[in-house]
Amino acid sequence: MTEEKYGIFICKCRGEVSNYIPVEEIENKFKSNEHIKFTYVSESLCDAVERQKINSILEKNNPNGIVLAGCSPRYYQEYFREVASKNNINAGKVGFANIREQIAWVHKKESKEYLQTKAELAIDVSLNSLENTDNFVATRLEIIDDVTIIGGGVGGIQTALSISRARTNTRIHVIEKKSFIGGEQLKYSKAFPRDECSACAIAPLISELSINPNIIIHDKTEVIDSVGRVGDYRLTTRKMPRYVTKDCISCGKCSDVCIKTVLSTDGTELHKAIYLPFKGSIPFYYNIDEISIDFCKDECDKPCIDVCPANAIDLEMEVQEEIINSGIVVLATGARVHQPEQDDNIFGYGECKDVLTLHQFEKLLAVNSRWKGDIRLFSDENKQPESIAFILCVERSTLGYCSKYCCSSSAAAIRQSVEKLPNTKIYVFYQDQYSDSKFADDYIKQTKKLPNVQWIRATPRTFSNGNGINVHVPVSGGILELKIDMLVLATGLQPHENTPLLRHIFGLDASKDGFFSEFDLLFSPVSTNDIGKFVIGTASGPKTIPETTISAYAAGSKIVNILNKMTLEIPISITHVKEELCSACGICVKTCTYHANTVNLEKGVAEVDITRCRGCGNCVTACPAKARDLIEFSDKAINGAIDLLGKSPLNSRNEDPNMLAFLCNGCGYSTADNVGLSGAGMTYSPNLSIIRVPCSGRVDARQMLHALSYFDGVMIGGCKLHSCQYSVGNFDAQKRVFLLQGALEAANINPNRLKMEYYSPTETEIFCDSIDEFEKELKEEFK
Amino acid sequence: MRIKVAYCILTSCTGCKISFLDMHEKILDVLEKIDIVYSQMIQDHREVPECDLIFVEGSISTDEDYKEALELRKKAKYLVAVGACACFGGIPAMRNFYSTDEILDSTYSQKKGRYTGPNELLPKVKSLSSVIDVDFEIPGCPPLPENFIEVIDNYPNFDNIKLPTKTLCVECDLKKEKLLSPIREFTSLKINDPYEVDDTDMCFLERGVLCMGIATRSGCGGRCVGMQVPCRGCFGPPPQEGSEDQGAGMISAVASILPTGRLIAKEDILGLVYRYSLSMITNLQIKRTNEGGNKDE
Repeated sequence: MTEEKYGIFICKCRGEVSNYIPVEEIENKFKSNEHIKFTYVSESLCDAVERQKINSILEKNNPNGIVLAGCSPRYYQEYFREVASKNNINAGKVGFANIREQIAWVHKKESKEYLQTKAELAIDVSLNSLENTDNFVATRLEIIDDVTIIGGGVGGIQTALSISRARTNTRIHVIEKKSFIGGEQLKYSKAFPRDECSACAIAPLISELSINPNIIIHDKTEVIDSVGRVGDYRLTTRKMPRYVTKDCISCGKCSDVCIKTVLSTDGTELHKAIYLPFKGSIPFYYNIDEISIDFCKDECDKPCIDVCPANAIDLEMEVQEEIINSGIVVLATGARVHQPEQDDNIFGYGECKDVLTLHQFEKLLAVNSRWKGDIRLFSDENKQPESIAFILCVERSTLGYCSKYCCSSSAAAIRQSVEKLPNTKIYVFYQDQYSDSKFADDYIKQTKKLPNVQWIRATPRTFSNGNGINVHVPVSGGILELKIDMLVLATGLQPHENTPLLRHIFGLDASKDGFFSEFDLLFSPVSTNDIGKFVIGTASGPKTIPETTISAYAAGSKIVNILNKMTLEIPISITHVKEELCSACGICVKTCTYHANTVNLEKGVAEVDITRCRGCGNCVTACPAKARDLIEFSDKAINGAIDLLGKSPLNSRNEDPNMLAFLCNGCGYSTADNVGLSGAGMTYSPNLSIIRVPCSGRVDARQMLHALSYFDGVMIGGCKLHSCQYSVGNFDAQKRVFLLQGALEAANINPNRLKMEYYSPTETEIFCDSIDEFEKELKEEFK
Repeated sequence: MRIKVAYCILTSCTGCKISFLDMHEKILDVLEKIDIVYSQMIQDHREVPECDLIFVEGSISTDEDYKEALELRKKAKYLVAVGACACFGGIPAMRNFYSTDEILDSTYSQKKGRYTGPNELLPKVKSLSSVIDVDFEIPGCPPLPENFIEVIDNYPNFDNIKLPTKTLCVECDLKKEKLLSPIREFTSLKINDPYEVDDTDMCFLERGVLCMGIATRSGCGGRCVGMQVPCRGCFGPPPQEGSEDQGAGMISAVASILPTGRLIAKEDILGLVYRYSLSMITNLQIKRTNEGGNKDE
């Protein structure tokens, strides 16, 4: 023991503890310990009067640390840490001995001696961990008052506006890859739910955005690199030339004289080489795309330059790289419409010209489309389709999720088709109907009542020949054969093609579908692994426009919160990497799911980004050189606990097998607490000792072996798979247990002595059953 | 005054001695400083005299080894453990998983209790330092000849010899790419034997070959990895307190970077991660054992 002196508070909990555990005897035992400055037995520590007393006791005795023996640390940990901090005791020097939930309440039936020893042991373990815990420290980071939003779609615009309304001085960069902001849907002429032109609907927002001097729109710009930490990111952007300067007055004379017409890749738009994406697009000046610039430079007489009254055309414009510093980054990069692969031959898409995606069809309906909003056949420009079939939920099973937008968007397209081609027969083949809002259901129902529209719940097969498309629909009693001129496939949303690259640049995770993953889908749906980066809208999965707006506001309010504070206080939960031990093997880099670890190649050591570290300890476990440690739950604290519990006389009390459980703070430990709390007289083996760890990923194979040298059985209790508090800790623990079991088996030691269990805090019965079963197995083993 | 040096061998393959003799012309300089007073294979002295420095190679595997180790300690002013066997138990300690009967059965195909060899096998193979005090340890299987020279040069102030503290990765020239990218993906989906992969300059772990380098102390100069052979850990665990258990450290580390199911199916995990350091793992001498397992002495 060191020179430090500690105080012990024991809470009787109004009899809930003292009825079972002889607290006075425990007090007497510790009183005589030379390292204990004082002991205090309280009737109830959560009582207001008693809490005042704590302050005065601490002031009088001035200990180096305190241990609170009573209820589970889950309840009052934060409170007592604060009380201690006010009395000049570091929060790291506040320990807890859980003698209520995990001793008094579950082992009521055991002898007084047992309960006393067990409670003393819990206090000893807590004292030991105090000794091996360094002081908690926090660091303050300055936040640059700039926000960068990547993606100028609905989400990006709404985020920018919500921040700018709350903070008038914050500079907001909106980076958009296309030549206009608002997103591709802006070109739709009539959209769900109000059948109004998309551009008109969003116009008020865009105009608010464009007149705000603090919002800087970077059009035709992409982010190519990002470094830094929360509060101070350095983004490198690349701006593609527009070939028209800001002097452009959008008179359109250049476009009138332009000799080159360009058909967009999806065949829906026909425009001149120099053009405005659509009337009123922002930024409001003309643009030449990269695909036409070679023609403009080399093969053209450049009449546009001559007619331009503002001298705004500059064909020699070059790619510009710019560095943007900002405190917060928002990814609003959106999604893209799924395009079936040509080889897959999905309803003849790609093979037959008249098979379109819904997105293509909607763009055709728009006034600025190739045929100015007329619906014509791609195979024969002069003909209008006499029959159109819509197929919903195309490739939904391949994508594996509902994309939410297609039902209502299809309904909008169907309404317009009926309006434009009143004599055309329209078939809609659907499987299911997604109508999330109060409007959607009615909206789709109205569509069903339109003349010439027939909704059929079936999946058809299509065969195309040179002369239209044959559709075979399975109906009761046979197959209905239809001849269709045009087929529209409502395909779902997919991650944007740039998402993998952006993931790499920003060091963010993706879900298995390829969308950016949220920090916590339920309670932090716009946060990411990095506290300075947010992901909103369809970048993290299919969303409707209202959902996108909500996520934008959510991110906006979180960002305003951070910016209002100007600084960010970040608790440090991990020690520095010991440079003399670390050889930059990279295991920690790969292990950390928060991307907090990097290797400094110059120094040849790993470094921890404290702004990303969440303190789960998975990297501490994985480090083969033990070059780092956690501050709370340090190696010494855990190993000391194993030693103390292992050497305890309780272990040789009877012939029954002894067990040790490492329980994660998130689920396992709470489950054990709840067993006592449930009050149904539930109990588990008194031969079970419990060690609290932050995450099951903190439990090292070394510690498992260490524990096996004392105990007959060792169990790691983590969260349920896929619900780990630290996202992957339990997976890694599972794999470590699995590997070690393999090694134990080879060493002729029964691998079943080591066990991994997954708990959910309410499943108290499952917890008790699993302990009973484990005990039974071990009894069998050591018969 | 030259240092009187003896070189003794316990249960071992004598490979360390070959390494000792592998100094080439430098042995002339060394012989200026030392007098070899006892060394099998190169001399014909039958008994170890009292001397200044004894190099001891090999692990404590038989009762004879045990007695000899105690005796040598008495005779030497300074005693240096040489090689992985003496330092960590080494290859012979891999038999610690089995009972002596099982070992004799499988080695000599003899019925239990009918082995009539000269020495009695100890139930567990031990390292030298777990039996006697050792002044310095030269790890490696085999150690580098330079290590012997260093010990002789610094005699008797062995504290001056600075052993490296980092792991093998610092000495390895193979490149890491996937391991330095924070994306949580396996570095290789397949687990390969060393002969199954092409010789490239990529880290073995990224080629799906289990390499012990990450959990092994450096100092060997990356001899094996430089020759496209993965590290097997003969320099023992890194020095930090808590990292003595090389095998469990390795298990904790690779679990998050390689597919564990395939690892178990393909590799002899236990034999690989504890190849040299098994006897150090007192933790594996587990409290109670099941039948046929390792019975404690």
